[in-house]
Amino acid sequence: MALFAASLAFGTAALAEERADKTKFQGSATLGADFYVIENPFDTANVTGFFDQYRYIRDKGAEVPFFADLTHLDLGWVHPDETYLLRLERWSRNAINENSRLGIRFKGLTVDAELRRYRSDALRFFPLGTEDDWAGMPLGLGFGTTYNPDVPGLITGFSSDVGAVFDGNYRIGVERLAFASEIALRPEGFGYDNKVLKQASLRAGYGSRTGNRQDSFLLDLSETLEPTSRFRGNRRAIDQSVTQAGLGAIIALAPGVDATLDFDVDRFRESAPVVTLGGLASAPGNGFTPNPAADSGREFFFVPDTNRYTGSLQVTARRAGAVVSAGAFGTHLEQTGRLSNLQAQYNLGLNSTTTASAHIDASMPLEFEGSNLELSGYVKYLYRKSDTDADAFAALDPVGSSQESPYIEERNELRGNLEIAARPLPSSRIALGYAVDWVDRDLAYPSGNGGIQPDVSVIHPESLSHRIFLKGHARLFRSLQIAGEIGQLWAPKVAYPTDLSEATSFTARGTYTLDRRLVSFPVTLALAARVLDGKNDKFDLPGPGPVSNGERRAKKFERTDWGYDLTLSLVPQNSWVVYATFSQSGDEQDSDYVRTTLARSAGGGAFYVDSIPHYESDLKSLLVGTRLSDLAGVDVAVSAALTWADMLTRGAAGVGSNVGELINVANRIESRILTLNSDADYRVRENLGVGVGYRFQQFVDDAQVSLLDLDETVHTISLRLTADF
Amino acid sequence: MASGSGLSPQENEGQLGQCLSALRPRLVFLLLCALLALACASVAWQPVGSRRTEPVPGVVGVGADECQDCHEAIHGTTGMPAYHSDCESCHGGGSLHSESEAVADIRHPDSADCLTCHTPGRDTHLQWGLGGHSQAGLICSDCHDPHNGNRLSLREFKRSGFPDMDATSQLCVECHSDVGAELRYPSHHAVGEGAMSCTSCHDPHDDPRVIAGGPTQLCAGCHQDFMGPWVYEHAPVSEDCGTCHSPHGSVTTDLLQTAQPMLCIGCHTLNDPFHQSLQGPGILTNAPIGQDFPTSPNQQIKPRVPTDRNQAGTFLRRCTDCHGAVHGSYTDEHLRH
Repeated sequence: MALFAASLAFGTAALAEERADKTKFQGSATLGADFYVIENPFDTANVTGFFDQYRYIRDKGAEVPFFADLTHLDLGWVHPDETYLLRLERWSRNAINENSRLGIRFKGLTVDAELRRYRSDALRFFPLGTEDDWAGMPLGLGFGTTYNPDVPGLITGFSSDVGAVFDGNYRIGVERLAFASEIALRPEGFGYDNKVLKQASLRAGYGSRTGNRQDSFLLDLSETLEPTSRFRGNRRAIDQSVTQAGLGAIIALAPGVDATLDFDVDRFRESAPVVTLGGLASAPGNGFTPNPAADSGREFFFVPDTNRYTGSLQVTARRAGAVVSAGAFGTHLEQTGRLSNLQAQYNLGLNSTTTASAHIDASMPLEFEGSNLELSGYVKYLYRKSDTDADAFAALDPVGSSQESPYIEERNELRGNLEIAARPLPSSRIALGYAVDWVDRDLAYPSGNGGIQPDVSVIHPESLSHRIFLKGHARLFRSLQIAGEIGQLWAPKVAYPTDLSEATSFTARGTYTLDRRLVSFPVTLALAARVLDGKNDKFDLPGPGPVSNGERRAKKFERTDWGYDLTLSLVPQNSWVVYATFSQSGDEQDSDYVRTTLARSAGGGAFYVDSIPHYESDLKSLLVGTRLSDLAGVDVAVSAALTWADMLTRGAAGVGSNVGELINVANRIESRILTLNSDADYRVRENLGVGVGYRFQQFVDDAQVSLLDLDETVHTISLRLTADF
Repeated sequence: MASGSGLSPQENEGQLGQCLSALRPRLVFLLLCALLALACASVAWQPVGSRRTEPVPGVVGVGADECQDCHEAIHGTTGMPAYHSDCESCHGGGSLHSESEAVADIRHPDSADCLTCHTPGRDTHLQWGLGGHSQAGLICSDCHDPHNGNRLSLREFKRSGFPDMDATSQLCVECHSDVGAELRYPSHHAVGEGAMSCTSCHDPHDDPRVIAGGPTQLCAGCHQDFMGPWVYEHAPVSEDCGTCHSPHGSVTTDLLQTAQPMLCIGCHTLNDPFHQSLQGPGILTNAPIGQDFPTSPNQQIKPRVPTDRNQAGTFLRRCTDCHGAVHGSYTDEHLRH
């Protein structure tokens, strides 16, 4: 803030000087108002609707909810040559969704500042969930997938609890504030031709997140209550802030060789009170006792206060068509200040992580007689170290089972690629390349009772993959551009079951403009597509049968991730554009669902494949729109977008259990989001305009149970008045 | 193509149909490609290249006033950089073009021309020439119009269907229409709403493969509270946030690339004593599974019946309903609260 104030003062002084130089002030302001019509049952401030996730409406329960503000403000001092000396611009789109930018350009001084505010709310019921005694299944109490009311007493049953939640004010949302500023000085701009220092800059920022989030958790109780009662929620307050400061420099090391240096400090603090299990249990009406009693001091989602120190150096050299860039980066994230209750109880130290990376990236022409070849590639090394107090693993769990999963203490990663390219035609490039990705993890396996050992771990220490690819782009005709890449990956070593040990990838993009002899105006067709098809059959687990048999089998995973989109754009007149885009993407996965007869921390017992659930998502989006400028003095913009979202799971026919179908019961997604935007603006006088708009938003969920009917429709009518001065 | 592996021929009933279903989008794509090729073939061959970036030989300067006679609208735009008013410093001499008015008779500046002035100290695009945009043949003027007065001289596109989206992102989704579609998915980062911009995470001039510290450092810039450092850390936090999250948009909540519980059981095994109620209290109190359990190696597992509550206890909830501290915990080794 101090930096911002200083830069403003400096800017004002600069302005005073420049005023004498016949700068002029100009601006534009738009006063806007939105009036909302929200359909039942979301027309109350107590209930979060689907669209509240991304657009906050104040006082939704009012007769006519509305939002009024200077929705756009653009103020500037302009030089006689029409460039800006100072420009302040602000957009305000709806309640708590605004950003403002300030820019000052005065000789060698550059000041940039930005302020953003935004609020998002969380839906507590999505996706499906089940009703009590769903579809004849004797479930007893139902299962909302995020069914966790933190309301005392509301553990009686899903049906009644859902109603109560909709009746009370239990909205969960986070309001974000972010301010960033930078002041930069270029000596050259003030007449000092410094051969080395080209620019020096200072940065400062502040951000906050306030509101609440929902924590869901499992009570560590014996089975004395109804099973569903053990799954509870807590509306946790958050009050986080980040203060940032940094400095940077741009240095010319030699002709054509430049470097940037940056250093930043981020100070993160959580000021919300910590909620403990004991505190929650003793709240009126909750009526449970932590079991064991030692759990009383456990916090819900303890967030450590941290400081983060980040530094980076980058050097780039350009010469005769070649570019070589090298860089180094380091960041240290350390816990500071308050300790968790258990850290304090067991006198544990503070934790930290350190990440460092270095890279070299180059592209250079190969000078042979008559050749038009180019060699490019990069190598990047990354190191990450988690410096957790090792005593924590033994001490923190009062039950005494200590840490279970292996811990990634250190991680060394080396990535790189090399490609040779040719330019057979102007505006074309074709390249053949090879890429490698190697990661070595230093895994710390818990010792003693209750720790997962290497033989049954689902993390392996080393992964290695190779990939070859052929890619290119070309402007074949004046009107046709194509680009694409085809690649094949193989991984001798995989670290996770969902890593791909073999994969084929394909991407393509084409843009075609119809010949003017066919149509009298520009018509452009663009097509893009991608497919990634791969599998992993190299991740071994023990089994089937007892571990002592020594037999191992792969936990198999297959995935096909694909998508394409088609865009048509027409410009019948210079002032008239019509466009349409259809996009579809899908993700199909078949994954071995592996069960064990014992917890892996207890050796795992027998491993066996229960079933092979099939997962499938299918998302389609259609956008159509048009823009007309100066139609009888009116600018018109209309667009409509419809998105279909489908996700289902099913079992492989006749194999294993019904888990695939079971997952589908509570998690299936089948929804549509329809948005229509229309705006018309009319210039009444040269410096005065009026506008009107209508927005229709509809969310339809075809899968949700009736209790959780999230279907929502919101109408928005907008009025605008714009004045230029 | 993904298909249930390990199926016997008898169990493969309907697999052909599934394969066809999975292939359908690709068939549509191939059909569209064929149509595109047909359209291309239907027009005559034309000279390659619509923009000339090499110098035009034999031209001399005529001065900006001569240019302004025809290109009147370019001048006098508020915000246009003053040094862009000198047309011929970038376009070369206009003597031939002013006579013929042919596009081929005037030079279109290449990125290298822009970089002669936009040097470090004015702009710091040190990695330009190495990233995907430059290697795909894009030049500065594909995104920037040096003649307009927009912020950053960005070309203006308003065809995203997002009225609240910032100008930079509107430009990005003009080409990256797949990302534009993802920003409409049920869960997405609020770019279309104007709360953030594509450039909040991406620098279009850089090479994303060598991003400092890796993609996770980008996420940490805003989500430091998920970065710990934790006592009990979920491995993907130290690997890559993209292991679980799809940052532009996703079909399910929390930007998860795959809906729970499939996302989780992709890696994790579940133990029967707790998740299946076999030997202990489990999530629901039930009778032992009995005959469904394999008693010897290679034994065929029998299909369960839909009323099996043992599995229901686990799969009718989300994994994070219990394991809520999924990024990391100071309390519980199972990442519960």
